[in-house]
Amino acid sequence: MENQSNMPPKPNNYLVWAILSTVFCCLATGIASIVYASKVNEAYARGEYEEAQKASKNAKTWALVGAGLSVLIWVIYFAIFGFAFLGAMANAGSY
Amino acid sequence: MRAATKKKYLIIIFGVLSVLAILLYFSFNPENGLLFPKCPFYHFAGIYCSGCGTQRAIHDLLHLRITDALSHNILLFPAIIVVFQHILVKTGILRGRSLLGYRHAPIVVMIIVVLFMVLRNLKFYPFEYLAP
Repeated sequence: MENQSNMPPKPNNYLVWAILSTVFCCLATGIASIVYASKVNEAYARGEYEEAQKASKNAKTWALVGAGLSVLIWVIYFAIFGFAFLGAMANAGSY
Repeated sequence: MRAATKKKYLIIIFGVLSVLAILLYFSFNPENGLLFPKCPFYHFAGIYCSGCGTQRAIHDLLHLRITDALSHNILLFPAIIVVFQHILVKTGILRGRSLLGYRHAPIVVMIIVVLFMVLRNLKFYPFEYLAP
C-alpha cells in the first residue's frame, strides 16, 4: 500500500502489543505504544524511513515496558496476597 | 543468541505463561478474593481505565458467560478478535491482510480506547453499562 518503490519494508509498529497493553494492563504504556505505532506509520508514509525506524524502536520499548510492568504488578501482588489467599483456601477446604 | 532461536524461546515462554494465566483465571473468580490485583490506575486515580474489568471478563469468558463478560469490559472482545486475526494472518494460517496493518489503524485504536475510557466513566444511562 504505502510501499514506495525504493523503500525498505515498513518497520514493525508493535500495535498488537499496544492493544494488549491497553486492554490487559497499563493504560499509560499502552497509549505511549499506540502513539509511537502511529508515528511509525506516518513517518513511513511520508517516506522518512529513519524516522519510522526510530519510532519503531520506541514502540518496541514501550511494548516491553508494558509487558514487564504487568508481569511485575502481578508477581508483587501475588507475593503479598496470593500465598496468604492460597493458604486460607487450603485451610478452608473446598471453594 | 540467534534471533530466530531467541524468538522461539520468547514464544515458548509467552505460551507457557498464557496457559498458566488461563488456568488461574478459570479456577478463581477475580470478583471475590484477594488473589488478583486491582487496577492500579483505578486505585490511584479513581477513574476506570480501558482495561478495567478485563480480569473479571476473562473469568466470565472462560466459563462461557458472554453477557457477564461483555458487561465487565466490552472492549475485550474486539481486542481479542483483532489480535487473533493479526496472528493468524502473520503466521499464514489466514489469508488476506491484518486489520492492524492499515496506515490509520493506530489512530483508530487510539480514538476507540480514549472514547471508551471517557464514556465508561459517565454515571448516567446508557453509559453506565460500560462501567466494569
